[in-house]
Amino acid sequence: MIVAVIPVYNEASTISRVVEETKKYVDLVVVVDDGSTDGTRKVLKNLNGKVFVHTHIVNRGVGAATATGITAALNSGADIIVTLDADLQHKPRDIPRLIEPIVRGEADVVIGSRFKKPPQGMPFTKIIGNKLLNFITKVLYGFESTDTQSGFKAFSRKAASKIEITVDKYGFCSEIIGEIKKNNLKMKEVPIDVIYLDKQKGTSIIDGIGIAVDLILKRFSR
Amino acid sequence: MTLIQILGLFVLIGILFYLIKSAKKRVDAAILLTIMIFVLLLIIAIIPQKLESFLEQIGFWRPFDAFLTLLSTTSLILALKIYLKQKEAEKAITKIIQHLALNKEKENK
Repeated sequence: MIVAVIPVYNEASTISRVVEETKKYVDLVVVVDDGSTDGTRKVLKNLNGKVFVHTHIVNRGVGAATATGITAALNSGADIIVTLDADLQHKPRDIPRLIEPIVRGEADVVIGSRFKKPPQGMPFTKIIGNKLLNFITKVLYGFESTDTQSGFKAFSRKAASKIEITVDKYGFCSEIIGEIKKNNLKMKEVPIDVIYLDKQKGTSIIDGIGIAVDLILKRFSR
Repeated sequence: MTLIQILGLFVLIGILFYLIKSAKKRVDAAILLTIMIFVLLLIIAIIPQKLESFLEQIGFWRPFDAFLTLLSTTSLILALKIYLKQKEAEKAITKIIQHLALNKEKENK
C-alpha cells in the first residue's frame, strides 16, 4: 500500500487540488493540518474518498506534522510512504518515479532533488541557503545529498519505522539525512521539477539560521 | 574605607539579605546567580585595591572588567540553558499534540 503524507498549514487555496491530484497515484492520502487558521480545516472537511485527516490543535511546525503523518501512515499499514508539500510546489505525477527505486529494492529512502538539474524559478537566496544547509548537513552528519531540504521524499516501511523525527520545524529534513546514515539505510535521489507560486513561502533566511542552530544542537546532544 | 564604600556595603548587604530570604522559599538558578553577583560586588566593594593587584596578575586591568567578563559569560551559559529547557518543553507539547491528532483522526470515506 502506498500512502502519501501531506503536512499542511494555511494552504486553503491549494490543499484540495494537491490532495485530488495525489489520490490518483497512491492508495491513501494522510493530511496533517498543523493548526491552520485560514479555513484549511473547512476545506479538509469537504474532501472525499481515500483521505485521512489528522489535526494538530496548535501549530507545531512542518517536522512535527510530518512525523504525525508518517506514524498515521504506518498505523494504516503503509508499505511505501511519500511526503509532499501542500502548496502545489511538488508534482504528484512524479510519485511513480520517486517510489520506483524502493519498489525495485534499490533504496530505502528516495529524495526528490531540486538540484539534480539546474533549478528553474527558485529564488537566488533559496539556492544559496539550500547549498549552505547541504554543506552544514554534510559536515555534521558526514552524509552527502544534493537537496537535504526537499520535502518530496519516499520511504520504505522499514525506513519510516526506523527514522525518528524530533525536530519540529524545517530542520527535520536534515535530521532525516542524519537518521539515514545512523540506520545504514540506502538512499537514492531522483530529479524533480518544482513550481514556485509564492516566493515568500517556505524557508526564510531566519528559518535557515534556525535550522543550522537546531542541527548543531541535535548533533552534539547525542 | 571611604564613605561611598560604606554606603555601598549597606545597600549590598540589604539586597543580599532580601535575596537569601527569597532563596529560602524558592531556590532556583536565577536567584543563586543573582546572589553570586551581589557577593562578588560585595568583595569588590570591601577590598578593591587588593583585588585589583590580584586581577592585574591574571590579565584584568580593573576588578570591574573581571566582573563584567564573568557576568557576560554566566549570562550566555544561562541563556543557552534556558533555550535548551524551552526546547524540551516544546518537545513535550508536540508529543501531546501529536498524540491528540493521532487519536482523533477524521476519516473521510
